[in-house]
Amino acid sequence: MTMPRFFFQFQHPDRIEPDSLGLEFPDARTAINEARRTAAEMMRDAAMAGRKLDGAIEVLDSEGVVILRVRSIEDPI
Amino acid sequence: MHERTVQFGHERLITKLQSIAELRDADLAALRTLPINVKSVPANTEIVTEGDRPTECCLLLEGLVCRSRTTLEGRRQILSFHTPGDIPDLQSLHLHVMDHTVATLPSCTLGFILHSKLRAVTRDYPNIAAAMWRDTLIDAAIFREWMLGLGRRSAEQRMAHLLCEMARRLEAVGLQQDGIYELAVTQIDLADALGLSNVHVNRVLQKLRTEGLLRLDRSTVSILDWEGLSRLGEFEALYLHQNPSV
Repeated sequence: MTMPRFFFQFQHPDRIEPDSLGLEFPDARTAINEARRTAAEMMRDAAMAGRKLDGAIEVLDSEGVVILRVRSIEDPI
Repeated sequence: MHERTVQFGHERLITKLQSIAELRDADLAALRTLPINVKSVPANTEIVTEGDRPTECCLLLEGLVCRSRTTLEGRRQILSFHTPGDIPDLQSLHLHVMDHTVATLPSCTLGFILHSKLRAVTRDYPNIAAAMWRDTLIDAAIFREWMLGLGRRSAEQRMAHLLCEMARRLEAVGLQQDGIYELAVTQIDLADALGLSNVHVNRVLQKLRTEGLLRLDRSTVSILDWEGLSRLGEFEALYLHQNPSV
């Protein structure tokens, strides 16, 4: 049984980190949850280092369709 | 054939204990008399499970073993990795009910040693008892180091630290040379050990590779830049207490 493949693209303010290999997950829900966890972990690391995390993670399905975009947002005050 | 494997098991155990403690000839001879029941165990198989009351300990001869606990919702945390020569459930000698699970990662060769035999050898040979006590203390030191990592280190630092730790531990038992060693784990295993998502582990490994710190070829890790990797992971080997005379 082959699992569907998903691609995780990391967007930084100045560049995009493309994902040409992707990872297999049982379904889109799992892939989406993985991306959310990753975003949370990256924000934690940035905050612990005193950095602002400015970026987004996009999840693409095997057809290249974006199925999720998680962004870190800080509203200007 | 079987006899040779048993001897191999004794030597594995001796190599491991001698990497952390000083043993005399009589101690080595006593260890070589321990009856070992050798078994091949497939990958991802539980050896002892939470709640079990084992009557024997398992010595890892070949492969890689992990200890883990899982939340009610089914999220697994890998608590430690064990390398050949380790007895990952040594605690069952004195703590009779298992409070966590010990499982194989790749397929492994394991040697089972009866508690009664281990108890006798530790009673009659104080140096062996001291070596196993020291091993247990080092085990606890490794847990402390992992706790620091899980609580306070970044994803990249955790990964770098783990890869340095495994290199040092495998080197001590002759299974790492020139920064190259086997680490037959999946990215899911690494994620469960480092408290990270699978996607994050994948990204971190890519990053370390791109930065020229290491190379990964299936389950072979090649550390290309020890200085860089250990600096990133803030790896200091003190907690492994690998000098038997200190």
